[in-house]
Amino acid sequence: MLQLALETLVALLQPTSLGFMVLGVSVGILVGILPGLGGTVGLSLLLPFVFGMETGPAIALLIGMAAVVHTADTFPSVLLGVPGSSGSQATIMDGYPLARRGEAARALGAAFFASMIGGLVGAITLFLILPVARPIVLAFRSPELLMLAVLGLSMVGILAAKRPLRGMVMATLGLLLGAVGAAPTTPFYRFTFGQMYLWDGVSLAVLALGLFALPELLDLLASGTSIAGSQIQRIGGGWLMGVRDVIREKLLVLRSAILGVVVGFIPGLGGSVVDWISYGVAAQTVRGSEFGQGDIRGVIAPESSNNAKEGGALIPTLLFGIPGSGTTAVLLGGFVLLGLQPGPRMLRSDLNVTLLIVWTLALANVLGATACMAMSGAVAKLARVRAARLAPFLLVIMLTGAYQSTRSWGDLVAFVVIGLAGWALRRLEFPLPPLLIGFVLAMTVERTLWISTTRYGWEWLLHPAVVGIGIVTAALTVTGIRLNRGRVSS
Amino acid sequence: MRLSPADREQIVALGILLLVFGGAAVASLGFPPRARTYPLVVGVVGVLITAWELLAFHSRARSGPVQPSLPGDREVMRPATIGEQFPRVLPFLIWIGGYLVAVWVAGLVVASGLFVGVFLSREGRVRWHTAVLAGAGIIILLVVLGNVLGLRWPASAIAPFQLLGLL
Amino acid sequence: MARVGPRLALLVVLIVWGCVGDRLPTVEFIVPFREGGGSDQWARAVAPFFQRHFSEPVRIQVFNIPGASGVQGGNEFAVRRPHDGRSLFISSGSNVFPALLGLRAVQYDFKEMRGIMGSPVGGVVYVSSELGIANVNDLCGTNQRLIYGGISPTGLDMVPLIAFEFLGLDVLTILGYEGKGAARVAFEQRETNLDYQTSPAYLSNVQPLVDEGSAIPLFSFGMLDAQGRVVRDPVFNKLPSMAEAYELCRGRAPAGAAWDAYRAALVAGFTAQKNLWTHDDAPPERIDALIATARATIADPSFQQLATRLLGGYEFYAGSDVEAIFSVTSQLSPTAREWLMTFLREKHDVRF
Repeated sequence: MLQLALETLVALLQPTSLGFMVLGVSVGILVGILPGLGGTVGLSLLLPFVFGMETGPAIALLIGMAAVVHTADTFPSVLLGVPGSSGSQATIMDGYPLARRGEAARALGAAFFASMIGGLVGAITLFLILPVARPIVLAFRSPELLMLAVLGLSMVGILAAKRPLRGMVMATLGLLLGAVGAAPTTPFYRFTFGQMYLWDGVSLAVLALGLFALPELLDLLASGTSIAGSQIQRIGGGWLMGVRDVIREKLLVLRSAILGVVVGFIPGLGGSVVDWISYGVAAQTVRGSEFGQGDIRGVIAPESSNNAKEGGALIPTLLFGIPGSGTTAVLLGGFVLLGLQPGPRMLRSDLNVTLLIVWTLALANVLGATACMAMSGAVAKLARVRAARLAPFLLVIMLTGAYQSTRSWGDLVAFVVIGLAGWALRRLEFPLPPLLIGFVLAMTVERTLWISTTRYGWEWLLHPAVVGIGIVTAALTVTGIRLNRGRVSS
Repeated sequence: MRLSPADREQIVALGILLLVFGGAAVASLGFPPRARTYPLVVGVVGVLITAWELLAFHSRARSGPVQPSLPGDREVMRPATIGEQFPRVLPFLIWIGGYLVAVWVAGLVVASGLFVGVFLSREGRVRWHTAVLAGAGIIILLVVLGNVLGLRWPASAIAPFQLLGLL
Repeated sequence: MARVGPRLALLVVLIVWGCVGDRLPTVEFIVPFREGGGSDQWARAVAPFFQRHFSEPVRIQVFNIPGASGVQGGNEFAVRRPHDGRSLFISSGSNVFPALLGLRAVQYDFKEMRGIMGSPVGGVVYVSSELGIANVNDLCGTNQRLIYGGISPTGLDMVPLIAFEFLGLDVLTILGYEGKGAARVAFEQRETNLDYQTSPAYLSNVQPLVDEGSAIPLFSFGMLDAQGRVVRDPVFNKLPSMAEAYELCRGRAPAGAAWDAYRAALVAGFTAQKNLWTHDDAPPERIDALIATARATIADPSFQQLATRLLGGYEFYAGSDVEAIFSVTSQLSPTAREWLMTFLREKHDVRF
């Protein structure tokens, strides 16, 4: 195995493979930076080229792309408060306040370095866990998935800290919004108001852009300032400070990365919540934090986990041929075009391909993070540009991004309508992250609840793993409430 | 009891949420059984906790001013009410509306060039040739990105512009 | 600077204009599903060969219009695209079934399309070895609790669901899995014990289970031949087809409205699973050129190599063969449709 691993590394370091990996990484950075676009767009761009390529370079190209999207998507999250892709929403919570304080470079430096470490942890875990992962994945049946979704929902209480009830209202709204469109259990279309656009429900990309981006843009324009306001940008060395922050918080990085891998490899939970879960757990367990006010640890936690996630998400993709995230879904298509059929043989006859994927994942993460860090100083200056000069460009890019979701006018209309609603809700101090979490988990909750009760009756409530996850959820919620109480009284 | 404008907005918002949840619950009664349970439960739960929050808010509002600032939102001394802030935002909403109409008429590429140029010269107060350059720049960016990434955008609804929309 | 600005702007605009004007004519493949799915893979595999074998230089663009299980893209193709033979549409089981059932939202009609090329796929039904079922006879006589996991009664699952009903099996059907892959994992988790997979997924992911003894293949859905009979699947020619399975269980040859419905669903979902169409009132010479391109593509050895990977051993067909194979579906008799709709309404809570 080790010898094969070394051989694969040597193969990857050939100029052709390396060149394709660099190309893949560049595309990944590009689609990551552009709000509304993510790994899916990047992969569908690369797929036509993949056909006819040799397996090695093609894998380097595809994985190189997929690995760095969640590195580069930090730029808009931190600088503009706009999610660069669905994996970096939680980074906004503290990254954006940091940018507004004039510490954008520090936040970016920390984010990229944490991303890199997270990505490496993901790659290593993928390598170590693959041979034994089959039974672990199989242990998560529908009831267990349901409980994990509930665990995800329990993060809502923490994200809404001082107003848990409002967090619950918003999460419920998210759960309801997730019910729009085709019901997962029967071909019936709910709450579509006669619009075929709503048959597939609201798109996550449009919702995230609408909720976070448009309200921020409107308020910025109204205030007539730049993102960093009157704060003076700290010049030079900012990103180095971020790197030092990460080194100081190495335990948090490691913990969040492992969490990322675990959430990533559970199929059906969806990679879109991993950053929130990681943020929530960190907020609950880190002492003396100022989460939500520009605490650097609020950037480090989600960024470490969202890159690690890709390593985890590849486990079900490679072993079972089922996608662990949106990106891996398209990746599967690429594998088929290459003549690879993911399944048990990825550990036997196609083991060299699997090892190549691991190496590419690791190298691409280092490469992507380095490139982003090199760019961060220059890009951070964007935060000083007056909103009125930045906004039209942003609006064009956001609309273009939103339109890619189903390529119909409905996307643009939904973006504006959601944006206005988000603006009003934010003004009224309703926390928006819980809405997003509810929305993302809605489908999983309905689906797995239906399957569990049809299959097992109510007996599933007594499954050991169900009880275990239930206890963890309860413990996290209780300590969360206590911590919050302590914070409010102090 | 007199409510401040901010409090009144809160009550209106919670009222709307109540209607949304309640409406969803009622509408779901007409769904086939397998599609009904989930939205019904979510709707009812939504009504209950929104009503709870409404009551809690009401008693808070009576007992004194509300504590502002939430984690996740930037710190604001006293958040402006929607009534105060909306007039400030309105001009930009009109801009966005105008832009969308332009997209509908001329397709996204042309409309974006126009929008960026005009917005910059009006609101951004840049020199006119900078605005023209920026407008051309965004067109190039869109065309290049569109070709490289295979992106699509709304084409024009009106025939003569459709040729331009092909850009 | 004040002088340079406008000139620079003009120059740049002209360059862009020049680049665009030079473009090749475009032939568009409308994929009514998301990137990465089966239809998308199919389109992207065919596209480069189509471009290579086209009679004139063209650019083939794959364009995804996802939404409403493929209905959205079909409507776009039928209603909005010019009927110029430059716009092609890919149909798959999921957007044929809604048309088959006559759902109101469907604005496209396969009778108004000309088939260019298409491909079949097979499906194999298998059970968990824990049930002690070794063959079709055991299956029909079992008193074990059969549990099937699927996605939606109006998708490909319609074929196994009709098959189980027609065989008279008592099956606990759980529909709501995220995909056929998730349903297969559920089978491995013993959440279900009866499942089917399409050929490529069966060969890569179920065959290992069969080899280690935890899964037992029982029958294939079969293929519809030119005479409208259900025959053995060429890739799984050792397994009985659905027609044989019925005879084994019931002791007579299958017939009747339910059987007609099964055959229509079988064609839509499997025997003619993926098809490339254009509008039938497009210029005839362009339609002919498209069909010629399709034939040349299918004859290309390197395409055949790819097709083997993609389909796992079935053959593409072109031109009038598409309509010939498809006719069983597009000319479903009213009684068979009535049976199908009643079955879906009463057994699977589908509302039309």
